[in-house]
Amino acid sequence: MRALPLALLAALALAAGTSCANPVHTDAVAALGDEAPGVKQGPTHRPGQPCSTCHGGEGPGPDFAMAGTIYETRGVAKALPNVTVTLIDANGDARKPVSNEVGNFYLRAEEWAPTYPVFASLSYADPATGKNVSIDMISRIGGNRGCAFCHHGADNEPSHMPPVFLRLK
Amino acid sequence: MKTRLPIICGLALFVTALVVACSSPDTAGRVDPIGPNRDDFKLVAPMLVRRCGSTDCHGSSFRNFRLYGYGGQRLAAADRPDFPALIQPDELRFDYDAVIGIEPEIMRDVVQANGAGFDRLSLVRKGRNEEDHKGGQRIKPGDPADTCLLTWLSNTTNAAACASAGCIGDGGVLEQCEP
Repeated sequence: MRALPLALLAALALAAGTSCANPVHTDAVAALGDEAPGVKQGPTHRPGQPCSTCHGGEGPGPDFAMAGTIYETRGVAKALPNVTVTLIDANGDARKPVSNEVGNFYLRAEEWAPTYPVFASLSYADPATGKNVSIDMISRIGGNRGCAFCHHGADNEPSHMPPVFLRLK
Repeated sequence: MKTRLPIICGLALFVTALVVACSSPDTAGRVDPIGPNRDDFKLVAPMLVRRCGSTDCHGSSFRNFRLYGYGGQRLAAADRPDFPALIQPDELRFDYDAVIGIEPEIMRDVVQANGAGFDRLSLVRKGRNEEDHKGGQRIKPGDPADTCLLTWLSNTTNAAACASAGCIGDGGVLEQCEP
């Protein structure tokens, strides 16, 4: 006798649970694939991937204010550590995270709440030459928290830039 | 007789669907696009692309209001966001059509009134963040970008304000002018 109400309740709970998920976000997270073998979740995982997919407010990772991966040369997949990423928001509030051993940098959401647009530039003290190398981002960051949203893929596309680079070819 | 009824009903439905499918929209409901000076838009476009057209905003192909140009999405398959440095003629044409096509009726009224009622345009209100805008405030009332846009809408384009807001230096060369 109680089977019908229980079944209805279960169906309702299932529907409510399913309807709360964002299928686009779920698919985007799934499309990133598994972690690389031997790499744990943390500051050195998934270099080059769009950080904001998982760290942009919908999970599953902690929220970041800004994050990305820095490469040495345009169109060349060689990450560069120790690059200072200068980020200045529309009100002049600046942060300067530094890229780690796999080129990743990030700022947690509790560290910074920028007012967009955000301006970005890179600087690097080249140990080989002893000189400082720097480059300014031409356009502004309009609102996305992850570099790889716009900086990804090949270097010959009209709709996006290649991964973030310090030097031109 | 009874056996013919479904056939007759089906035929009637088919004919009705055919008539509806072949009917044309009411031509009286069409709005001829009337926008501000198209030639002057080449002064305005660098400002709009710089302020609004990054690839994570209106420089994305996934947006309804799309802008093309330097620093954002490019129209030609062979171009890249950072090359060539200037907005190309075809990009100007697409950008102009995009701008005046957002709200063609209001744009027509504003242009015909020499800019009066500009605050009815979502282009202005969203740029100023006076209407909810995911990208926040990109144009501050009274700044060169605002002056550029409003003077263009009133057919008195302020070239100096547009050049300043679009970071265009002498000889039409783009410059780094911010932050």
